[in-house]
Amino acid sequence: MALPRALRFAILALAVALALAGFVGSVDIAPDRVVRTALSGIGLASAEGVPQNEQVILLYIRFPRVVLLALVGGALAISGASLQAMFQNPMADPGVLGVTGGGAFGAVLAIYLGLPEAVPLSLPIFAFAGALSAAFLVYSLAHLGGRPSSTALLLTGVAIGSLAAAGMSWLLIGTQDYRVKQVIFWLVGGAEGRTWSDVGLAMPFIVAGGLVLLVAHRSIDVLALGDDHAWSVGVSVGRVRLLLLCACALAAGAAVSVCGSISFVGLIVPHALRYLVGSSTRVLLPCCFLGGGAFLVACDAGTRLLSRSQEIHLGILTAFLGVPFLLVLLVRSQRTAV
Amino acid sequence: MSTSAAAAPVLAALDVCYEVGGRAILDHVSLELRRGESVALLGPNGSGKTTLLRTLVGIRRPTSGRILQAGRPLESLTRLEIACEISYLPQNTWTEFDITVQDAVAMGRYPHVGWMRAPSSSDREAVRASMASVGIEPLAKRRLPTLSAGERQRVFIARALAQGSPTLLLDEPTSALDIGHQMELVEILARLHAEGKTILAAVHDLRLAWQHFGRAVLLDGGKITADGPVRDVVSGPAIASAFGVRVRIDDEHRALHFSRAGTEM
Repeated sequence: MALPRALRFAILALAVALALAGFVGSVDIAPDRVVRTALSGIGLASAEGVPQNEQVILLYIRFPRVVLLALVGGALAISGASLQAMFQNPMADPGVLGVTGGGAFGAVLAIYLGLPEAVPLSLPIFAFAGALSAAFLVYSLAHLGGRPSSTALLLTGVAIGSLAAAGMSWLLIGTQDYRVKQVIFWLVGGAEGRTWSDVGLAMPFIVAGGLVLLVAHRSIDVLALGDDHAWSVGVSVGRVRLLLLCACALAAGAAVSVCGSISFVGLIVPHALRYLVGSSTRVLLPCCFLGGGAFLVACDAGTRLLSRSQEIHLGILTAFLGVPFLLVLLVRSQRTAV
Repeated sequence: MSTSAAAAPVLAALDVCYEVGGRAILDHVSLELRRGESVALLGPNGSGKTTLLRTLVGIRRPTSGRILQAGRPLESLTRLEIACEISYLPQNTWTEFDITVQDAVAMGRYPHVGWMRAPSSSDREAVRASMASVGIEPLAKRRLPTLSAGERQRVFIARALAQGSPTLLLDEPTSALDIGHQMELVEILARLHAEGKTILAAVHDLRLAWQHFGRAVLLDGGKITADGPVRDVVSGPAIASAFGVRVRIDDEHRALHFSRAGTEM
């Protein structure tokens, strides 16, 4: 079966972003050496002739960072698109599940306790646990008064997100000065220093969550029309929404656990792609996964280029791009509401 | 289907109560909907019409009492089984998302297609036939937010038809429409009824109910206060109590005349 044109374009965009990001870094490496090293990494060519130090930079610093960001961008975008549809709210993103705030809180707690110095993996594990716990808390609290409306779930997510932010501020005050920079990394997000072990840690959860969302695309489509419409055509709204929330929490939680709370990817990418490919999730969700990856990989390449003159974190760049986009979205939704 | 199931009402509420925070929204409601009937559910704002429809289709679970679908307790059926028997069209048809008309109608095939199977040629034919039935084929590629309220209502009726269920429950399908679109819509409903659909529609316009439905059920304060031929219900005393108006039927001009209850007509 032929792939839809939008999907082919998204694959091409990700391939271009990955290729460009492979070429960009603080050390200039000739493009042919980058390509040869990449092909050698998957056993398709020999890296003979590429200096050892360049191979190390590419295989152990640049490539894992790029692959990880492709996964993380995809996870955040596909979760954002699914959450917006299932809550019938174009402003929803993984933050509304409490995933972003919870994940960052978990990471900051681990830093506060000084765990990463003894067990480096404790940081992503704490972040992942924080993300999933926050999502579970949001879901449980929203159900205290019976079956919640979409708005009740969203507001509970905002409340838990605020609570996590307050908790982080509290911990930050008590954190030793030399650890503050590490905390800031988790608050703004980024992929500096990420390795293949981070890829291995996040990938199974991102792939599992993403696959559930892709398979359940028809249910997500129907939920976008409203809960009563979904009930009417045979969707068990409560159960299906719980399953989809778990999938989003897994994918986005895994993303936050390795790259911190990178904001706005879950908003920018789905809305830009809706404009291009429409709202049918059959095409939108795979495009979001690929496009989200391409967007974050390209943004990271942008930060590396910009950082040659002034250091800038990935999460700061996505926020600089995301805030104007969000304002345009708000103005547009107000106009259509009149 | 057994003889008893065939003879049973397609939908029945037996002494149904629904309470929220100790307040009765539905108060011992009993109602039977028989195959092939076209019933207008009347009642002032806040009388419980939407809650009754949502309870009948299983979205709300009654605090007490039972709902039967063709003699079977509703809670014994899966959501997909209910969807194959009853299509429910909620009052709100607005969406923020740029879903195309064709995709929205195709969502009606959900109970037949499910999660994993790709839509078959018969699914695509059902979607095409449903769009043709309400005259929206030219709108197939349009996006829902760009449609008028009347067009959107027809899209969602097509979605309900694509579902292929014999019973249609509609919540105020004409409420947001101008008079022309109201007429168009009730003509579509009349045709669907003539083709064999069983219809229960919450309607706030007594004239439309009187002209296009055979039977009316009046809900007032969560209780059914009248149930019978639409002519009797519309001109009966329960209407005066529910709406604060008296209704006189003018057979000669096929019109209804209204006056405030307690004043001369």
